[in-house]
Formats: sequence, C-alpha cells, structure tokens
Amino acid sequence: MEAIKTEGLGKVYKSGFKKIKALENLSLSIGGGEVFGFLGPNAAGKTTTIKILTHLTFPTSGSAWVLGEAVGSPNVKHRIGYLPENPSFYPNLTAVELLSFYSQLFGLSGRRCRERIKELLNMVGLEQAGKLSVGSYSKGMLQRIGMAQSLLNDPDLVILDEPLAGVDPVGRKSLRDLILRLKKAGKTVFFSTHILQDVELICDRVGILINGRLVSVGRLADILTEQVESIEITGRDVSRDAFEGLNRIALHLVGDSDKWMVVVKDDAAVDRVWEIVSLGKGKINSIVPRTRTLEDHFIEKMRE
Amino acid sequence: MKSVVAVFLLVSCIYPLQRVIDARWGSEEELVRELMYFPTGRMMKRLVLGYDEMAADLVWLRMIQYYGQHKQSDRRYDYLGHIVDVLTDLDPRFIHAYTFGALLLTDDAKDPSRGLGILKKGAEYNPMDWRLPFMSGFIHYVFLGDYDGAARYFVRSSSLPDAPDFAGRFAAYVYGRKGDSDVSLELWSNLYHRSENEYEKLAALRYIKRIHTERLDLLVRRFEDMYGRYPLDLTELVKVGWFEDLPRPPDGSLYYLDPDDGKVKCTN
Amino acid sequence: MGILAIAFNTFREGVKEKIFYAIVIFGIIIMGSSRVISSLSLGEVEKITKDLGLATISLLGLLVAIFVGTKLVYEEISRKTIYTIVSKPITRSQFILGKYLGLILIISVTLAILTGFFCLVVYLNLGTLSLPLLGAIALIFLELAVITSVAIFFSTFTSPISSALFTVGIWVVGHFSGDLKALVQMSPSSLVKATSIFLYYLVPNLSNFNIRGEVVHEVSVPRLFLVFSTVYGIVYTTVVILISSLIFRRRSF
Repeated sequence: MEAIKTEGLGKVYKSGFKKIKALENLSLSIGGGEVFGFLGPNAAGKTTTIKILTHLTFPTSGSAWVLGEAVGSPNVKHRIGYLPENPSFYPNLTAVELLSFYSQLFGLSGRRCRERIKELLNMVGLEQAGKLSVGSYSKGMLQRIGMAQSLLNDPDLVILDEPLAGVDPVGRKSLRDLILRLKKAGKTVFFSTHILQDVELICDRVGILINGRLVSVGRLADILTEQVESIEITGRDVSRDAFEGLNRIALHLVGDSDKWMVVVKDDAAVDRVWEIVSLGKGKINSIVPRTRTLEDHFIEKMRE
Repeated sequence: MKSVVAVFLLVSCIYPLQRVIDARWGSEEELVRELMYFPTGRMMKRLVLGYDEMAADLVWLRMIQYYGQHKQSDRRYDYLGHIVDVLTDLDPRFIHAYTFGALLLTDDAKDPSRGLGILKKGAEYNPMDWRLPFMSGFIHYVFLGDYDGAARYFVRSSSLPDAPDFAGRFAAYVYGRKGDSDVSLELWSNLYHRSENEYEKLAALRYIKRIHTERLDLLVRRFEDMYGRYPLDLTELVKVGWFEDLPRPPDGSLYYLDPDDGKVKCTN
Repeated sequence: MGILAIAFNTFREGVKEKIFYAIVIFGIIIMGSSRVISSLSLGEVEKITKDLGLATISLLGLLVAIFVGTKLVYEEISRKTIYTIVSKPITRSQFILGKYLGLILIISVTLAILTGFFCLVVYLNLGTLSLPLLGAIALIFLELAVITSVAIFFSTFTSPISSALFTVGIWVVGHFSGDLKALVQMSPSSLVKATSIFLYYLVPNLSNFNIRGEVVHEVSVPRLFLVFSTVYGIVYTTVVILISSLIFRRRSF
C-alpha cells in the first residue's frame, strides 16, 4: 500500500483578480518505508502539497490519498504525524503541557501517555527543557518539540515541512539520525526542503518541484549517475601559448598562466592537457574527476 | 531626572487649570442641555440599549444635582419637568421618580398641575401602586386646599394592594376634618418618618416647623390676650394647661420664644 | 475528549489575556463605588446598588465576550498554532465547539467573580440577598452565550477588529428589536417592512434576556417567559455554532 498517492493534484489561488497556479498536475506515489525528499526552490509548491496532504487546505483539482484513504479522513489523521514549517506553539505552555494537550487530541491520556511524552522529549534532546515554557525556546528547540509532537501517536507516516531549516549543524545531524531511525522502524518519512545536502545524505527517493510542477522524480542513485561528467585539472607556470592552447580544448578555464584551473570533458582531453603543459614548461597540481551531483541535476532542471 | 520633574510640574498644573475652566466656563445647564437633545425619554430609551434602569438612575442623579444647584442660586427650575419626564420614560416603574418629582414640581417649582400630571402618568403605568394616588391626595390637601379631591385620592390609595393603614386613616381624617391643619401636620410627619429621601425629609421638616410655629404664635397671642403679658417662655403654655408637652419637631430641635421680636423660633 | 482539551486550553489561554483581568478589576471597582454613588442618591441605595451591579455584570461580560472571543480563533490562525491542531484527529466542527465551550467557561468565571462581588456589595449595602437577582444574572449569562456564538461566527472568517465591530453591531441591533417590530407595523414601504421582518428574526432578540428592570422593581416574571427565552437562547446559539462550523470546514490555512 502506498503511503502517499496523488493524481493530477492542482491548486489555484486567487489573489485579487489574478489566479496563481501553486500546483499543477502533481502525480506522485510514495511507497511505505521509504524516506522521500521533496525538493524545490522557495514558492515551488512544496508547502502547498503538504498542506493538502495534512488537510489544512483543499486541492482545486485532482485527488490525494494517504495510507490508502482519502486525505482528511479521521483514521488517517490518527496514523500520520506532521511538523509544519517554522512551527509555532502556545507560548505559555511548557513542553510537557503542550505534548499533553496534543495527546488529548489523539485521545491518549494516563500514565502510558506521560511516559511516552518523557520518551519523546528524551528522543529529541529536550529532557532538560521540559518544564520551560515554549515561548522561551530557540528555533532549534522549537523544531525539536515540533518533531516530538509529530511522533506522539507513533505514526506510520511522518510529514515534515522544512524540518532542518535554520537548525545548527549539530541539531541537523541529530534530526537526520532521527529520520533514519524512523525509517529503520518501518515508517515512511516525507519531507520537503530546499537544502540539497540533507537530501543527498538520507533520502531513498527524491522529487523536484519547480513552479508547481514535478520535473523529476526517482531514486537518488538513478539521478546521480556514476558517469564522470568532467575532469578538473589545476596547475601553474605555463607559457602564454600553452595557456591559449588550454583555452581551446577546455570546457572551462579560469586563472592565468601562473595559476590556472581547467575543466575538460574526457580522458582524451586530459592527455591533450598533459601534452600542452609539458610543452609549455608548466606543472600540474591536481586532477579531479567530477561526477554529477544533485546540485548539477537541480540546476539543470531549473534551467529547463 | 529632568523629565520626571517636568511630569510632576505639568501634572500639578492640571488641577488648578481645571478649576479655572470650571469657574469661568462650567455651567450646570450643560448637565441638562444634554437631556434637551432628547426631546422625549422614549428616544433616549432606544439609545441606552437595554440599560434603561441604569440610565434612569443617572438621570435621577443629574436631577438631584440640578435641583440642588438651582435651590442655592436662582430658585428657578425651568427644566425640572422635562427631566422628570425623561426619567419616568426611561424607567416607568421608578415610583419615587414620580412622587419626588411631583413634590419638587409642586413645592419648589410652584407648578402643582405639572406635578399632578406626573403622578397621573405614573398611575397609568403602575395602576396598582398605592403611593401614586396617595401623593396626589397629599398635594391636593396640602398645596391646593382641594379637600374633596384629596379624600378621593386617599380612598383610592387605601384600596390598592399593600396599601398601609395610614392611607385609610387619612381618607377618614380628611372626610372628618376638612381644612384642619392637624391633617396637614399628620401628612408631613408621616412623610418625614417613612421617607429615606433627604430632601423630602427636609421639606417635611420645614412644613412641620412652620405649622408648629404658626400654632405656637397663635397661642402666644392668646396668652397675651388672656394674661396681659407675654409668656416668659413656652413652658408657661404648658403650665396653663394648653399642652401636655410642648410640640417638638422630629429632628430633635426645640421651639423657643425669641425675646427680641416675641416670635416663636426653632433652635435648628 | 478533543473538544474538552480544546475548551480547556482555550480557557487557559483566555484567562492569561491581560484585558480579562483589567475588565474584571474594573467591574469590581465600579460595583464597589455603588456605595458612594448611592449615598448621593437621596435614599435610592437599593435601586442604584442593584441597577449598577446588574448593568456592570452585563456590560463587562459583553466586553469579555467580544475582546477575548474575537481574538481567540483569529490568533490561532494568524499565529499558525492551528496547523498542528487541524492536522490531528479532530474535526473542524469539534474545534469550533471546543473554542466556544472554552469561551463560555471564561465568561462563566468572569460572571462568577463579578456576581460574587455583587452579592457582597448587596449584602453590605442592603443587608439581604435576593434570589431573583441571580435569576437576572442567569439570563445575562444566556445573552452572553448568544453573543459569544456570534463573536465566534465572525472570527471564523474575519479579523478581530472586524469581528468585534460586527458583533457589537449585532448586539446593538439586537436591542433595537422592539423598534424593528414597530417599523414593520408602521412603515408604508413594503421593502422596509420586509427588511425589518427579516432582520427582526435574524438578529438575536436580546430583550428576551433582559429582566433586570423586573427584578429590581420586584415585579414577577412569568415562568413560561423564562422557559421560552432559555429555549430561544439555546436554539439560536446552536444554529450559529453550526453555521460557524460549516464555514470553518471549508476554511484553508
């Protein structure tokens, strides 16, 4: 059973007399147990998609299903967890009070519930801050309490909107580890981000959303081929003629004859560089083959 | 520190400034002029959005201020009738508004027909309240000298539910002793003792003392006629057996004979 | 259970609002001053004490209903605290109902505090307590329950300031209902007639809940009137809350 499925999902906003297409014909399918990264620049429609899935807003066309049921059915809400972007909570409550409140919305209470709250606070590293009021929390702490509330009901699917934004490197690592632990426990994690590095580190599959359209989706490994895209060579002290020669065969050349870096396409071109540099009485410092990165892929898609 | 001092200085100017403004431009007529914006109490009733009784209380307090100020100055109560009208439109069940208003209009503003008009209006809204016809009877007897009218009102009053015994008694008195100042005295004493209204009590006291002093003056002259001299003091009137006890006004003061002009006066 | 959680949380948030305390303290001060005011009233201590107390309770209860009520739903949306609530297994209707109950709880506490103080003042000024006074306050509570539902209704789709203005507007028209009826009878224009009839039944007839005059003047109120007014209040409130839920169901965040 798919964790998330959308078919032709569309959302059009009316702003004054203008119509803004936030989402267009989004068809997505996410299987159980995978970690899916939803990538895209700001205002791509990622948050809109998530809001539709969490029943905060409604699509203008198409349909969406979560855990096999239509979005918004109460059963579904019992089995998902959601962390909004830049979450805000009642500032006067302590973390414990806040989690108790949310527990009550799930119909949970009693000793087991209290223990679960303690467990979750430990899990997100907020044991010490449990008695402090949430209004005094830093951004990183807010993300963490947000994470905790999204896991209260031990959900099968966890939906996170920009979970790592604005979090310091240590916090990011622990959140990433948490997501991997969730995957290990058999949960599905769907998260949106505009930070490529996070996706590269933990996702099974990736979807790229640009201007409301899904332009690319697939396994990370498939998108990032092992194929060598180009080779980066740095060197120094070459004659001006040789420098010209490099320029002619290079994809890309920076620097001057004293200190230069050239990017060439393949091994044959590398041999040519060796020739030119030796003839030009220069020296080669390094040769680095570059494989295709997610960034390359992303930028390419942006350009299309 | 400088700004704190400045604040103190400015604040201390506010009190004297306001006093000057009040002295030169403050007018008690303003109190009433507000009411003149509302030609009828009914219009005002609409604007108070259900807080009729509270609004009536505020008008009542204004009325007291208005009356007090004019009593001490020009003794003209031109707006009084209108105020009482608005007051009783706002809270038609406010019986004291009718009875006190009628008393002021009759006694101070010297407009008994307006006073009686108010009581009639009150009786239309509150036909079962004994106090309204009783006051009408009171005014008819004491101020208008209309003894038959008074009697009719007292009888009516005594027939209404919860009417006290004295209503019936006065009805009987009036039939039996028309014109007797005893009845007036009784009526004023009755009002004095049952009223909780400072001004009503003062008015009653004033009339009680007047009636007492008039009678005592009469007796002093009779004494003079009979014994050829002024009594040394009022206790002589007791000695000759005309009183068991000298009458005393209910506020505890005393009547005495003023040697300068031979008139009976009161210590208060 | 979710409804109660929302209600209790709403209550907790509401009584932290500074304006709540300001209003309650203001009420206590006004009622306390009835002693002084009534001493200037030439003997009308009883009337003024009761009138002032009842008017204060009614008016300040209204202020709490409007100021606290119109803020609460709107703030959830503007501060986005609602995101983590609507995505949990609680329906939008349950959310609205919970908010309403929380507000009613706040109003109840306000009224209880002011009534307690009122009873104290009455006892000190007059030496007795009067049960009908509590009856008038019960109807005041009912009126506030109706107005609170109207405040929630507006706050499901408009800003606090607009909600407050609209709610006050409804409250004002609600007190003009007698005049509306008169307009219906007197006006020659059938448009005016039709509009007046429509408004008369649409807007809550708040004079149904006003027995303050009767209570202060010790005029008895027919039991049947009380029963009908109570039923009217409950039905009207239910309708408004249902409509609010319907609106809120289609609300996007």
